[in-house]
Amino acid sequence: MELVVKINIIPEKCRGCRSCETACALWDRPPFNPRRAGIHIIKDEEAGTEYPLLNLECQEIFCGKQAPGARSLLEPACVTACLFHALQVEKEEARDAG
Amino acid sequence: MRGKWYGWCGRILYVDLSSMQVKTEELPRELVRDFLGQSGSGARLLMDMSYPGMPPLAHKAPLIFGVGPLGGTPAPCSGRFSLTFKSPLTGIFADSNCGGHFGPELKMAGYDHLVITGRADHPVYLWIDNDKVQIKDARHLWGLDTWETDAGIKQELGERTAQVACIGPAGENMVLMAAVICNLARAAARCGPGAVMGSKNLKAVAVRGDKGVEFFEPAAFAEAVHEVRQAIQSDPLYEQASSYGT
Repeated sequence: MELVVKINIIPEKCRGCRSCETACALWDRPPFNPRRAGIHIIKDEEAGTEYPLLNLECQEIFCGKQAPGARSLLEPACVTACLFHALQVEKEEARDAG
Repeated sequence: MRGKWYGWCGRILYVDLSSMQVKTEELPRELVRDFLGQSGSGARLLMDMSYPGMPPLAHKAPLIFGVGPLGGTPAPCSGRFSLTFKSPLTGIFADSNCGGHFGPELKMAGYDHLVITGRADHPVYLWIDNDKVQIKDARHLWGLDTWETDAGIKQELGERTAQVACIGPAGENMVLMAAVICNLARAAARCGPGAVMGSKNLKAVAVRGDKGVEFFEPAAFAEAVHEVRQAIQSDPLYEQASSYGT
């Protein structure tokens, strides 16, 4: 059985604080390094725009990184960390493999 | 005994622009035990490197960048770094701090403090790529504003993800309240650190790091971060301040 989670990205709400990157990296094996996170914010500072970019894998299978304060069973740490609701869990389900 | 560092990186980078020398030293454990955070240890370093009556824009006057043990971690409001120096505006101790992504990047490059002394004989900028530290020519950048400098350095280095803290024409001309700008819009301006950078002929500091830092107990840390966030969010001013600013 696979745990599937679909994360919606709403770039207009992203403010580019990169706390999702740090939240993801915290649950990775040490040392803590946001460059290894499954999510990255692509920033264009001159235009003032941000776009959160997720690994495709994160959209396929629940990563298992759950932080304190998660609002639902399969909410990943990056979604919990977002203060501005730029990342939202659209649906979560348990699916039989194959 | 050399133990492992948690939260801190355990290294100080010293750059002397007069002799163009760069050296790395171990962070003294008693320094971070006795003085709290980057502002505290920065103040102690400044004290040790100063002499009575030192002019703030003297060659020997140090400019100290510092990132604390929480800098760049998931802890709320932790993206800040401090600049500690003797203020050319007030003539006394000054501690100016700034948000943005420069501080965390400096920490990920493996340095808690960056101490700059001396004066280069022509405009230079500093390029810190993890352990590789270079002092590069900035004559072509001198006179440009902070946006142009930021873009120019990133293009020259070919590093889109590098972070740049730089000064504009005000800092170059040692205006006493000149700011150090990073991420185009983040300023460390209190007491005029831009003038100190300008007096050293240092146009910018560019940094890129991918080393990381270790936590003693990541799970307990995450729990503490959650508690602090809850406390912040339950404050009556939270909604207002996050929508309209301070």
